[in-house]
Amino acid sequence: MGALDVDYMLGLVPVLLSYLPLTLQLASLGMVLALILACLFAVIRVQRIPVLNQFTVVFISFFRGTPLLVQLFLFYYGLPQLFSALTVIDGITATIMGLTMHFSAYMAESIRAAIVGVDRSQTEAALSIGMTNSQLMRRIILPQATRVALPTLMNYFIDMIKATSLAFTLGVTELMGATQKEASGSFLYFEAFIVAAIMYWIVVEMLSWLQGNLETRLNKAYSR
Amino acid sequence: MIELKGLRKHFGDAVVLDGIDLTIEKGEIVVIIGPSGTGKSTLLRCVNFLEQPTAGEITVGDLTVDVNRATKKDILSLRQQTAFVFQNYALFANKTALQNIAERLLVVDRWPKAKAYERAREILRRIGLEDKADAYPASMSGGQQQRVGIGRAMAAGAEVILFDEPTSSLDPEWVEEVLALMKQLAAERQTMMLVTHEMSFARDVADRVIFIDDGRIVEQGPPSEIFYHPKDPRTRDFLQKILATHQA
Amino acid sequence: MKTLLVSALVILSLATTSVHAQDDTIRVGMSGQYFPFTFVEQDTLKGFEVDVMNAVAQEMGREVEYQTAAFSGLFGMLGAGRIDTVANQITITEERQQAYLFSEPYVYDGAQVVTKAGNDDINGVEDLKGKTVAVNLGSNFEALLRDLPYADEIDIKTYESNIERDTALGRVDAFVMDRVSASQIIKEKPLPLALAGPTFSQITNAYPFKDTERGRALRDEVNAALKTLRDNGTLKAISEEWFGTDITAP
Repeated sequence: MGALDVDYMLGLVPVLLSYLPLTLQLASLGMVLALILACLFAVIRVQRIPVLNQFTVVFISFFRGTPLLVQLFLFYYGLPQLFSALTVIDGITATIMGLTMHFSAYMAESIRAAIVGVDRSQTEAALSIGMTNSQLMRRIILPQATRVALPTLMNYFIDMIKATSLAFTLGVTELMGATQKEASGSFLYFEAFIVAAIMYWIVVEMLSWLQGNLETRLNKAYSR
Repeated sequence: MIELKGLRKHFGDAVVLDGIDLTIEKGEIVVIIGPSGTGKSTLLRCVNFLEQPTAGEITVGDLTVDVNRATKKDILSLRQQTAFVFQNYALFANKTALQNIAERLLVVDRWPKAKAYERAREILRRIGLEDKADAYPASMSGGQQQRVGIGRAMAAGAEVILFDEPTSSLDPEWVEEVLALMKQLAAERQTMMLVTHEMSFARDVADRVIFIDDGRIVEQGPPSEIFYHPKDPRTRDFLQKILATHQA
Repeated sequence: MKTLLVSALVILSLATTSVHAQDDTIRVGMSGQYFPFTFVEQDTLKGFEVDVMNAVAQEMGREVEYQTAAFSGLFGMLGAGRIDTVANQITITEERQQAYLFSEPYVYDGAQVVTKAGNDDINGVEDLKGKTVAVNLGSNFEALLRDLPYADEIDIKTYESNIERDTALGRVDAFVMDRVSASQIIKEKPLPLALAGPTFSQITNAYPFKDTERGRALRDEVNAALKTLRDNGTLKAISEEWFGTDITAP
């Protein structure tokens, strides 16, 4: 067992760091789009909007029931094979699409659970003052459900950051892809991957800190 | 003016409201009493479609709705002309006292922000909770929450305020302050329709008391008549029981 | 709301779609993870494949655009028309020939068993019976092993990457790779590995192309360029620089 090659690790830091923005970009765009989609799905499911509800059930079932990697391959390699115009979907877009759809399916279910968990009296009160269903959702139910769903959604975001490492399979060199390539050049696997691991870790830690702050703010209304 | 004609409500095979005919004049305070499970709350909840009535006709102000032909728009305007006070207060948990009262003005009546909050503050003053403007429901006592609940109902100048057992969930120490606020409203001749077990309140404040049993109006009249000279044996029976429990 | 979402997706895809390669650019896929053929050091793509392809493209008078992706994704990209060819020691096989056009071979090599240094049990491919053997996912060595008469007795593990390390760690008994890169790994990297016995199957590596008009044209251009580079000694020079021996001739 040789000693750690610290110089190599230090030299790798700026190189890998330059791929971190892409990783974060993939995850945050994916998260924003997935959140929008998931809220939409959750509301459709809760209000049982005809046709859309059935569509959503199938969508969620498919994207929860198949591996993310399979979905990425379908978007990136499969679709262009059927419709050659879809070659314009590049690796980054395909990754974001895959992350969005995959995670929206999971998130829709936890948002739905959070919505259903909001006390029935809140709905009645909102209806009694003459709110429409969409006002009720936007102003009363979703804000309260957000607080309940936040920890779970944050976990999905963290998961998503880590899932961006699959993008290298689609030719997108993000943090993980860069690390793999550097490691196969030097054969210093431990050094290379520990540098990458620490970077992921720091990002996730910063997010957890953010989550703590957000939770404190959202909980303000509920503390005596 | 509120008018209910042949209002019926079935839950499956169970008949909860069996044809209610009722007219309430502007400024009238009507208290509905009766044994539990006889459809008093359901009656209130049918007036603003928190429950979908099975048959009948509802008039609030100049809007008349056949319950089986009610459109979404009808239901919304019916709700906009009524206000509801819930047994469990049902304040919006994510909003402060001030926001709870202003919500309807902002969202439903589309008032400008400044005007809505000014009005909400005025109501907070009237219900004596000006210092709680920025407090969230979770940090308020039951009595304070229910006063905000009533304040929320006062905000829009509704044709009628429907009170569904407003003091039943309260610890005894908070009942008085809520009743006092309701008396204040009554003194201002706000049209009110109440379901309550507070017989003394009904006796002192109501213009008319309605006794309901088995989904029908059994007897109605001024409190002096209903409480002291009930005609129907069922009314007598009910009053005896309820006064006995109260003295006990 | 829905239209908003759709338009967001469209804008996104437009924004992130890289400007498509000009027609005179040849788009080449490689894993960037196959030392010393294609690998990265301090963010720079290097290796035998890169040097050869640069020379070929220069000869063709075309620009090269390299696209790195996990090995298992490379043929998908080729099939979807996202790249023109793969420069990753692609071995000519019958199956692949049915799906793709191949250029003339530019590497002649053999399959090599590699074990942890000091492992005397395995001295060639016939000793793999009852052993656990690693190969790269999607590589030709898996098929080579499965064609052996005693393939049933070999526990074949396929890897995305890092098969050298798992062999050195003793997680598997051996791995199979081409002789050239195996020797290179042993020579240059701090892993306790050793070649086990002689090579067992000659292999030829070349560039695959899609059977389209563009694919056929590029294949012909590449063949012409390879011939020139072979004749003027450039291929041999590149090979000797990387391997100390000429792997570009039979």
